[in-house]
Amino acid sequence: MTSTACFIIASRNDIPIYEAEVGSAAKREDAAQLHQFILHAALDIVQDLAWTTSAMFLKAIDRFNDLVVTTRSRNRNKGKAPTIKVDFLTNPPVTQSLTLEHGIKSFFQEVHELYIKILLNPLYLPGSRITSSHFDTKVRALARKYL
Amino acid sequence: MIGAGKIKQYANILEKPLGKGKQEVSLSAFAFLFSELVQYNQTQVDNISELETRLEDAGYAVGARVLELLCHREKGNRRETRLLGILSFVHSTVWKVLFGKVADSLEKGTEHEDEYMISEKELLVNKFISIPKDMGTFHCGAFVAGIVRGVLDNAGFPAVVTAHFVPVEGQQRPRTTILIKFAEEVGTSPNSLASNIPSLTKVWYCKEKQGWVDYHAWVSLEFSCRATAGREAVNFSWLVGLMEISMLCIILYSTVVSDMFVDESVGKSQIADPKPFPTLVFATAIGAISL
Repeated sequence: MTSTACFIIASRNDIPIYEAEVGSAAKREDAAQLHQFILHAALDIVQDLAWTTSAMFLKAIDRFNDLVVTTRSRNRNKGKAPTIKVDFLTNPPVTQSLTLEHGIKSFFQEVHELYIKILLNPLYLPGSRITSSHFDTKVRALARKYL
Repeated sequence: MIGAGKIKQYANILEKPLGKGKQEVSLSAFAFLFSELVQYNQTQVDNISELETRLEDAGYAVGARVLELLCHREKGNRRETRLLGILSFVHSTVWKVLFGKVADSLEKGTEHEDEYMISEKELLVNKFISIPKDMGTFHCGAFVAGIVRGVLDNAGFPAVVTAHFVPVEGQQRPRTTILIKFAEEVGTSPNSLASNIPSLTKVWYCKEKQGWVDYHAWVSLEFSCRATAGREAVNFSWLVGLMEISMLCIILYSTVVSDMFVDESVGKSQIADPKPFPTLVFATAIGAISL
């Protein structure tokens, strides 16, 4: 599978608290900034969409060239500042997207659980960067498993 | 971790399952911990309001975590987007998980639109606490108020939450009330306070003001402008004010018109019931204009 994906957890006020590049393809030169740019642009859409539904997983919500953004919102949506959990960027062909979507959904669910465990730590300030290497390892393992 | 061989040791907190966990914690342990918390904060501050603020902040951290955890455990990852939904979530689910029972009551304040109260006969945190006379208005329920604020804030409904003693006749100990006052932005965002209140309370509100407005027409108008307000993020209360004035005009007009119809076309009236007709026309017109 030659897709790369950029996975970002953004907290209140659009500050990313965790980001990772996952995938099996070689890293592109301009990929890093481009991915983050696109994800950031999608945040507003997420904020609007998040209020319309009580489900957590919002499917593909934005496209840019051949890159698709899918999201899952976490609980902390404020009126002004969007708090979306993940902006997930991947570039599969459209035909594959159904099976991939299921994988993405499970991936999000697992990472959401991991995030809650991090959050339960009383010494963790909500909204600060997640620096735990365990978390990083587990996210990458999940990404390999589901994507 | 002190434990027998039965308890599985996890290498890392991240691997421990989030499951149900232990349902109960020793009350005396909690009371001891809480009293230590209060005493520690007492030494750090100079006055009562700072002490209450500190307790509230401690509660806020708890509330934030409780919200995420409960949404994951109890509600299968469905968020609350409606105001009444989040309030009843706090009132029943959160209370049940934290204190073992649902809160005694949830009421809507009568003076202001955005005030709600959760009352409890005896807060668990206050069970073993007595307040000396010289700290008159201090309430340890500030901790619980902080929890509620944490839950609401992180769900997207910012509010100011305080705890008060409310004396009740016939009982020695006063009742505790958690007063929730929502921030301005909750009232003006598209999924706002106004559109979240069920139409029953809205009817109560309009009946108080006008007394004789036709209920069905009002509800249909309200639904149509609710739908359009969501799309356009129009300031709802402005629209409602406009509606009210227009409704009054229409009602007056229709009474006049119906008199005319009855006089002119006896036995030949095309319009069966003139009164609702202009109202419906008006409702659709407003719906079309708002789009």
